[in-house]
Formats: sequence, structure tokens, C-alpha cells
Amino acid sequence: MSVTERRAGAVSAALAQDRLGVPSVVFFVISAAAPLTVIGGSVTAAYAATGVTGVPLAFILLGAILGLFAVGYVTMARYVVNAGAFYAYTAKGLGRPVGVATAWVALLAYNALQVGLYGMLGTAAQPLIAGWFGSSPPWWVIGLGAWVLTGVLGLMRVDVNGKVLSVLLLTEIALVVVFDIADLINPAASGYSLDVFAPSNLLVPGIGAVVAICSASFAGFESSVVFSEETKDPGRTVPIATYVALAVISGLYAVSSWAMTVPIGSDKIVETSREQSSALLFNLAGQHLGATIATIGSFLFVTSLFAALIAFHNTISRYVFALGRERVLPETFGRTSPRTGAPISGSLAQSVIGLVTIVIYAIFGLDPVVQLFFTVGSFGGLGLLMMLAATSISVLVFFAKSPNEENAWRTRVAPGISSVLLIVVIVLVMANFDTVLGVAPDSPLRWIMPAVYFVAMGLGVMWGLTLRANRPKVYANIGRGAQAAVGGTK
Amino acid sequence: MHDNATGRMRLHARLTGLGLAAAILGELMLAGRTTVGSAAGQTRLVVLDAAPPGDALTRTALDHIIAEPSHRLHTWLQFLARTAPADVAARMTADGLLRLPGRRPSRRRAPVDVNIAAWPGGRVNLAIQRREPLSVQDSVLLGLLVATGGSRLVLWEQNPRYLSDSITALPAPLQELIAQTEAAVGDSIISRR
Repeated sequence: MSVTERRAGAVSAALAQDRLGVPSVVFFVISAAAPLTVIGGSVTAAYAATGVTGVPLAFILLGAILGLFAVGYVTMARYVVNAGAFYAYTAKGLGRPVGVATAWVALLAYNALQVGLYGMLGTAAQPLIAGWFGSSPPWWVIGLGAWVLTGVLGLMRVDVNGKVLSVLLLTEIALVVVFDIADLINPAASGYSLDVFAPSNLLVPGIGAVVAICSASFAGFESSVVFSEETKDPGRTVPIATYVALAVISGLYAVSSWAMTVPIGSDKIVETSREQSSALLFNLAGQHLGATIATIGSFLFVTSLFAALIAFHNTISRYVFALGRERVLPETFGRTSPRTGAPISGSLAQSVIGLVTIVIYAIFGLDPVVQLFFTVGSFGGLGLLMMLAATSISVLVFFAKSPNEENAWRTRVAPGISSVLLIVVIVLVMANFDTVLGVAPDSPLRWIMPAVYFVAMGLGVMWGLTLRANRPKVYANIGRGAQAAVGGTK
Repeated sequence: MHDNATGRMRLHARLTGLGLAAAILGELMLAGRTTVGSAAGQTRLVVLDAAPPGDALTRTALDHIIAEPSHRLHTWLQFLARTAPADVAARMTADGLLRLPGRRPSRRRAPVDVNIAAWPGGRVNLAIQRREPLSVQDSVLLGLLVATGGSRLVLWEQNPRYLSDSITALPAPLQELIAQTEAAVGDSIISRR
């Protein structure tokens, strides 16, 4: 081997040293989806608020739809700079004004998903604090405490470290599996039943509300493509990690939401969820495994919620930062804290939204689980579905108009099917939005809330067109994120 | 860029690394060794003069660029950023600008002569204050300060007009270097690690 040959890969080799493999990306993605948060919080909330027992089937179906969506998504990711953001795809596929509209929807949806968690965290921490100190402050005091910590960590740019995250995540998953096994070996008097997987138990009024909260449960899986520049083999690592993560989380959600019904009986699950709310999972564990395990479970539930809060907070501040760098949002949002490298304005903006929400819910005495976690979280789920559908259509359009060597399955068939299915799902959610909100079917709120997204889209398109007319340089860079600093080249 | 009193880094390590990596490439470009070109739709470095530079740091960087010409400018920034802070500190120590920590409580290297250390920043600040044009070298320094966000720490006066004017007055390859640095800094902030 000559000197030059040996040196040929020096740069790539040096950079490859800290590149990620499939397991690391899977870990990041699953932790972004926060499994214990979903199984402890969303599942019982779904049973309780919708009265529908087909939750496990909904997870399986949504997992399958997202799997189809992911085929086109990971394929197009290779052609997109700023690949972690849905609006980069729609800007490329459906035009930059649609990109801005998607960005507005994303900010609404991610913020809704984030602030919803404060309600659940405050409520879930109460029994723990009461157990340690004899009494507990109201949920919103705990929520404000979590808010302060999230805001401070966001400004310091503390992402929960990869290793800590892996340990927490593995413990969470192990715990969920142990809980599932304990549930499964302690069936109710009525015995085992697979009712919850029967389509007839999902295809009922309220299905849209189940679908909304279940979609919200998958939020975070889209982050896999962020790592394409940091993986060993982007063409393989990212797709495989995405499919594996989707399979693991939808499987885990479906099995766990079924297992929860086994000791109670699928006929009583709705009623029991309404009585016990997010404590249900841990009460069951307490009966079968003892109080200590149940307390550990409740504690991990709170840490899992907190990790999810930070993850969403950081996602939002980066989104805002990218938009600031493009000058789609004011330039100040593209600034960073020199010392920590945190996207400082985006982080502060998100914190303001969190504070306002907690204060409003506290003043009006609204229910933190049903009206904040479930309702606002499902509202975020609807926004996520809209972004997924728009992205899926963008994949179709993008590959139809640009020459490529990808096969038809990836560029046409899978994105085509997933676009249609996602639109069907959105229609279902909107049709059941009264259940999501817990209002009467004739309440105007059920139309006003979804309309918020359409207003955001309209304003986004208008802003995009304004930029095209007045600031063509900014317009040309929509969707390019940090790469907006460089002109058209890569 | 360190705090005078404590020696703590005032700019985040990753951003410092990218800024110094860009500064090394800037030195090579100012010395006429490399420039920026476009190939296969990518922005790359083009070697103009392969004669080895006098000092080890830029010589090693140029050797790498000659050996692997097909990398994007972005990749070079990331590659050099890994070692740039240590390499630059070593060169400054060798040149007698920094002294080793010795028994100093902070255990960090410190400037031998504070006046020399403060001079480039002072020079740029004075020029901004007097609205005088900067030399090409100082414009690159200013551009990289802006690109990494360090400008808000060291400039006495934030004058967006002056900043953008002095950057756009630079030759195109140097402007591209600054833009690529800003993009790399942005990417490192968006990236989750």
C-alpha cells in the first residue's frame, strides 16, 4: 500500500469515528417517542376519554400507516437539506409557500404536544410527593417546577445525554415488559379476550379521537432522518432504524394497551380508566408485583414525561432557530447563545408558551389530564397527522417532477397509499373532534379548534407569497434551515 | 476566546472548533494556496499552489487537502474542527504567544503578553468605531466572529450594516468560506448531539 493510498480515507475515517449505527439511531427515535409516557398516560387517557376499547388495534394500524409513510419519507430525506423538518419536504415538493404553512402548523402542533405534558407530569408526580412528604402541592405548582427546569436546561442546551437516555429507556422498556407479563398472568375472571383487536371495537363513534391521541404517541419518530449526516451509511442506517423503531414502538404500545385490559376485562377497562386515570398502570403493578415496583414505575413515569418535555422543547427551539436562519422568522430567532450554543430565542419563545398555558389552566381550574394532556395533546396529534399527509404528498410530487433512480415502490406506491390513508385518518379525527375536546357534538369549539390549523396554513401561504414578492433571497432559501447561509450550492 | 480573569471558554467548544477550522482554511486561502471551487454540484477546495507553507499547522491541513481533493468544504470544516483548538493552541505556544499552564490554578494556557492577545480584537473594534475599512485579513476575522456568534462577545458596537459591508467587500471565495462556516455552525446547533 502506497502512502497516498493509505492516506486516501484519512478524513472520512476520522469523521467516521463518531458516526452512529442502527442501534444508536433506534434509541434516539424510541426515546423521542417516550414509551412509558404513552403507555402510562396516553393509553388510559384514550380509554377514559373516548370510551372506545379498540386502542390496541389503533396502534397497530397507525404503526402500519406510518411504516408506509416512512418508505417515501426516508427516500426523499436523502435529497433534502434540513431533513429533520417536515416543512423542508413540503417546500421542496409542494412549493415554498406550502413550506411556510407547514412550518406554522409544526410550531402549533409541537407546542401543543409539549405543553400537554405539563398537565400529566404535574398530576403523575402528586401521589409520589404525597407519599414522601405527606401532602402534595397542586399539579400546576409541579408543572411550573418542571417548566423552570425545562427552560433552564433548554437555555443551557442540555440534551439528555445519549448514555443516560439509553439507560432510562432500557429501564422503562424492561419495566413495561414486566408489567405486561404480570398483567397477562393475572387475567380477570372473564378470562383472556382479544376483543380489543376486533375491528368492530374500533370502528365506532369516537374512533377519530382514539386515532388522534395514538398519533400523538408516535410523535418523535420523524427525528430519525436528522441523523442521516451523522450515520455510518445514511442510505441504510436511517431507513432500517426508522422501520425498527416504528415496529418496536407500535408493537410495545399495542401489546401493553391490550395487557392492561387483561386483569380488568375489556368490558370494564373504560370505566376503570376513568376512575384511576394515569395511576391505573401502576395500581395494577402494585397489585401483582408489590408497592415498591409500582413506586419505581410511577417515578420512572415522571422522569419519562420530563425527558419528553425536554425533547419537545429542544425540537421546537431548533425549528424556530432554523426558521430564523432562513429569515422566515425574524433574524433574532436565528441567534445562539455563544457560550452554550443554545438556540436561545427559540428556547425562550417556547418557554413563554408553556408558562402561559400552565397559568391559564391553573387560573380557570381546568383538568390537567383530560383538558390539557388529552385534549391539547390530541390537538397536537391532529397537526402531526396534517404534516405527515402533506409530507407524504410532497414525496409523490417531488419524485414525479425530478429525475431519480429510485424504484416505484418508494416514490409512488407507498407514498400514494400512505397519503390516501393519512387523509382518511385526518377526516376521521375531524369528524370526532367533539370527543377529542369532550364537548357536545353541536359545540362550535369542535370546528374552531381544527380551523386554527387552517388559519395557520392560510397565513403561512400568505407570508410565503409576501416573501416571494418582497424578499426573493429569503424566499429562495425557505426549507434550507442552517444551509440558508450558503446560496444554492451544497 | 477566553475570559480574561477565569480563563473559561466564552464560546462553545464546537463553535470555537468550527471558527478555528475556518481560520486555518482562511490562512491557506489568503496565502494563495487554495481557493473555493464548484465540482459535481458541491462546493470544494481547489489547490492553487501545493508548495508547503512554512508552519506545520497549515502545512498538515494543505497536505490533507491535496491527498483528498473530493471532499466538500463543509467536510473540511468538520474534519479540521475536531483538532483545530488544540492545534492552534500548540502553534501559539510554539510561537511564544501562549505559555503552558504550569501551576496556575485554572490549569489553562494563558497569553504571554496580554496586549498582543488583545490587539486583533482591539484593531477590529477601533476600525468599526471609526467606520474605517478593514484589511482583508481582519475582514475574514470579523466574518468568522459573526459566523460563530462570537461577535456579540467581543465587539463593542453591533453595527449590522458595517459587518455585512465588510464581508461583502471580500473576494468571493472568502465570502463563501464565511457562509459555509455560518451554515456549519447552524447545523451543529440543529443537530441533536
